[in-house]
Amino acid sequence: MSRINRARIVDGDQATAASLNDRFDDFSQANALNRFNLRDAAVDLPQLAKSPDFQAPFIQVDDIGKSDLLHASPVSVSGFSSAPYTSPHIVEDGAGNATFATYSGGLTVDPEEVLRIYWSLSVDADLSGGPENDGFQAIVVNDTTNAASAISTSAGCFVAWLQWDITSSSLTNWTEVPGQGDFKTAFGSNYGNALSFCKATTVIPLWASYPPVLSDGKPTSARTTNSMGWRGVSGAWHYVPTSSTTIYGLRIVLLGVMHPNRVSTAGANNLVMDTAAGGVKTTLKYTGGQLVTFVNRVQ
Amino acid sequence: MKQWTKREVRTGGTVSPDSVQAEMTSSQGSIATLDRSQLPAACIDTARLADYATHRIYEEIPFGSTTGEQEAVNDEDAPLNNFSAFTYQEHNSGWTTVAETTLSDFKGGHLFAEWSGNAYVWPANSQPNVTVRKFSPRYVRLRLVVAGRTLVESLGPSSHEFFRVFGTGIFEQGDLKVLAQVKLTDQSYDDMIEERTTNNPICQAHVYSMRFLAVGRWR
Repeated sequence: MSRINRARIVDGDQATAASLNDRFDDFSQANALNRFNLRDAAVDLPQLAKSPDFQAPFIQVDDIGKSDLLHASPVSVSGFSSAPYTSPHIVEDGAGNATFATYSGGLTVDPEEVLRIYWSLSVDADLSGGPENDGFQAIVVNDTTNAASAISTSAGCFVAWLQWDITSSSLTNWTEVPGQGDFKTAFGSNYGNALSFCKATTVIPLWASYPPVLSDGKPTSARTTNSMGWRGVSGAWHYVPTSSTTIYGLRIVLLGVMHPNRVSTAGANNLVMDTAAGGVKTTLKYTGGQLVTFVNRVQ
Repeated sequence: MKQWTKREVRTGGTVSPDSVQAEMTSSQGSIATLDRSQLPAACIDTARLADYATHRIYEEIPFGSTTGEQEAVNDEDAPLNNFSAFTYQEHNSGWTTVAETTLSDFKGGHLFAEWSGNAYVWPANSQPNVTVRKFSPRYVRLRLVVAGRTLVESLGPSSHEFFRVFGTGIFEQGDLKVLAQVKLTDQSYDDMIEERTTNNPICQAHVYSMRFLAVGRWR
């Protein structure tokens, strides 16, 4: 380092050529620069030889679903009518072709990187036969005449979650991403996920039901139930692998109708399939969206 | 820089201790420490960068609890086909912290933070007595508070749906405390709050599968 420790020149000192030369020699940089030689915040962007992708080494955008801006002929997914289900609905292009993200040669994400996934989809809900009070979908309150009156929780939903293939580019080994369950866990006679295994799940609402008249905490028997209509839904998921992980594909799958349910009072919160509200009573329609794969360096 | 900045030695000039000292002091200030103007461009490559030299990403899944659910209000008396979560009987109103974290060793600079997850709101109380009150949609309002300042605030979900809020700001160096907070639409006197047969409280809202990511950039 180049700190100079020689004492100051004061009046009365005898100045000689040797002493002055010694002082100038003090300035020679005998050793490499180190942090002591640099002022705080001395290094700025111009001093950093960074490749353009240092902080964000990978980004890719893939179209998913069906391109249909006018919603003229969307893809329809009926509510599932048996549980546990066999296979979820894979977001497709309307012609039976699954749409998903693939990465040429595989995308390797290292432990000092974070995988960031963002996706969107345009969806609509079609209701027929009044699913809002079927199965688990309703609770009972007193109406204005103190008679029992069922009212929907409006918690019925489809779920969308992420699956990936980290085995090979043949894309035949799709599994749920870490932290995400497959909604096939048995809870009594029902099947679904504890909320703790919904880390890559997006909930898609189907309807909102409310009494048009409420008074002192009691409704009349009338109900207004509106399906949610066309709307954009989205999802986000982040993952820092503990060891290098190569991803060959990533996709969105759909399942419904789901509803909150607990096995016991103190039991965990779950989302389980409610087949009574599924089948032809509830249909999810969708068109297009995008899936963004983004890798950032953590440090 | 190695150049005469105070006095220039000239042939026949008189040298005093002060004149030498002034130049030495000036030179020492510019050589013993270097600032960015003295460093060549691109003199440090990524292989020489210390960790977190330019930025840092903070990521948490699950966020807030081991299950990713809010646990601020967990009313187990709600019906089994409800979430064990917010009820008006146990919720104290106002902003409620449902998750928190600390951005350790934030070096000062630009912060981007995002909070996402699923939320449930029971919309059935949206239409109180129409002769007295107007339509009153129910929301789970959301906000992120960083180092005591609101980074982002959102009206939030009004049904059972996914949410993602994000914001940016300039923050000081140090460990930054982040609070994720929710605020339910307050109860009205016409609201349904209990089930019929058991008088059990009805779940009004929940927040779960929470995720958090923040990016701090200081170069």
